[in-house]
Amino acid sequence: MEALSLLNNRVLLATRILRVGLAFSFLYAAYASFVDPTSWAAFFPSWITDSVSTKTLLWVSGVGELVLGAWLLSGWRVTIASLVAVVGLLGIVAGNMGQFVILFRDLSLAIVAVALAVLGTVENSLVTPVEEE
Amino acid sequence: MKKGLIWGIVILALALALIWFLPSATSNEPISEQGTSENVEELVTEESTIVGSMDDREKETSTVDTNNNMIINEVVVQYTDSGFVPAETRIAIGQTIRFVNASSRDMWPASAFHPTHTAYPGSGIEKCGTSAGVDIFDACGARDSYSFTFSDVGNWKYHNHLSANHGGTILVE
Repeated sequence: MEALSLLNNRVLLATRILRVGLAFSFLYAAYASFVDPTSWAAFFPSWITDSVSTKTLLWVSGVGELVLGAWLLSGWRVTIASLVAVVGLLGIVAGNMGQFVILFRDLSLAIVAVALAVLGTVENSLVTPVEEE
Repeated sequence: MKKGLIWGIVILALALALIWFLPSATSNEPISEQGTSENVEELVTEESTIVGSMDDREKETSTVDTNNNMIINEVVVQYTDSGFVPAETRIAIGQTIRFVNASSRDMWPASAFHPTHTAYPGSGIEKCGTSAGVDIFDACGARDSYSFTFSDVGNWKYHNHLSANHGGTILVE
């Protein structure tokens, strides 16, 4: 029982560390895109920038990243937040294959987000004590 | 829990598929062989092909030495809506590449990697706008035309800083 409790605590701690780590990448990306918009706008595929202004795109993506970062930190429905992160990260990689040499990290982050999505399915049950029958 | 694992496996498979298809996704245009004055005739032919659709710029890209041999000093790489053409260009050390914007978008050629541009020796976006930014492989802004003379041997990757997915390689020998 003690071992199980220890395992629960470690999994809970690991899940929270993953949430903070993943949230940081999105929060920093939002901050950096406001500080250096030109560099970040370059990651949008041309078929998007052809129809929407980069200013609008940066604003929308920046706010989206802030919201996603906050969502991950909040711990609410972590699995869904993580899957949104996975889609976003894979989308960035797929849309910029020519820059894979620097975006390979996003692929790693996407896999981390998958792990968090899996852990998110049990995080709440770890936080909430199981009622004894 | 099983659902989570299935999700994980599915997404991991997608990620692996991305890596699998990477080589084909980043495959480049045929290499444009550019060299020294030893194979001048071949150079002139290829150079003419490259600049053929543009203005009469052949005079700008070649000179004649004391033996009346034409030497290609400047090689043109065009930037189109689909990227740089040719995507890989082979030149000799000391030759100049002129990037010409033939697209409907802005062009800002710069050394890899986005966004720091530090791959080519001495280059770096932080040098733009300073006295050190004169001789770096970085246009430091949107340009219709940008020339850079390569003085270091190597395979130098570059990209459009305003559309990072568009890039190419200059092979300096």
